[in-house]
Amino acid sequence: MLAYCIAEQQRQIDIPGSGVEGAAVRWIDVGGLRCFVSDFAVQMPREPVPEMVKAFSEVLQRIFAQTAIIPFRFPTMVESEAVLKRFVASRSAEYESALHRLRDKVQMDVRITAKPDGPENSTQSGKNYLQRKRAIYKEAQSVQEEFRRISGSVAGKWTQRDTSGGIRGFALVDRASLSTFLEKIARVHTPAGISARVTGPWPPSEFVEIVHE
Amino acid sequence: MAEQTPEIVLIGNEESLDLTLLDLIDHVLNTGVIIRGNLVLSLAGVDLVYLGLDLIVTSVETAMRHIAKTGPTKRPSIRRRLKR
Repeated sequence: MLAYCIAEQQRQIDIPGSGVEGAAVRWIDVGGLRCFVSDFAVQMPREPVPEMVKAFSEVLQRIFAQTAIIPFRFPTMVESEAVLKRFVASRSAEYESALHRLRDKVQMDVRITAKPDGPENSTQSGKNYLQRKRAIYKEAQSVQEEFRRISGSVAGKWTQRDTSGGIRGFALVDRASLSTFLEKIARVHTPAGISARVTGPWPPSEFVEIVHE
Repeated sequence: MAEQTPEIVLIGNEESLDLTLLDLIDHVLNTGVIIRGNLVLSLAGVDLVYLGLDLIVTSVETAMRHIAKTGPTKRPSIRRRLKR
């Protein structure tokens, strides 16, 4: 079976009729947690993988629209219900704590990169290349700080990591404050040569610290 | 929690459906709980994606049984690839 996500047990979560490969989505309760799964034949896919990713993501979004979730990484397949139960039960305290803490939160992603400025100049020296990289990073960092400053207290927590082309930031936002957050960050000015993309709301995976041995 | 969260939004100066799909793929493939395991996804006997040890929980024997049902996988040999 294919595992989608873990949520707190609630009486009523509206789940989509079908998930990846059109299989029915169902849940398995483990203590106070609820795991969403569907049947999944290992030897497929019949559809292209992007279609499967979209179907998987739609299930997550549908459930996440109603409650906090901890997603499983796609494609997490489990051999049996017993295996899934054993795995989730062994970490249930961590999952319950994270779901409780993030119950009313969503994650917004801010990706700041340098716009491509034509073909790379292969004759530039290594020093020039490094200087340019440093300048881009500095500019991306200042845009990222502007996002933080403008969003103010609406984003309770930020985290970021460097990427090959710039910076990726993650804001933890109350569900109820999402529209305010979007209004605020729409005012951020991005200088020429820098691209900023904001996507979300995503499950706040960047703010879940669960150690897997 | 009755409040509905809106659909994924995209704000920025690079709006593109392809990029949104890339965001989806990035999120579902790179974030989330990991269970250890091992598998190759195959289509018509050709390996599509090798899924690392971190993604799936099933015994190797079970995975191999499932893969065996689809027939032997056909990978181009190193020699054939080098000839191209």
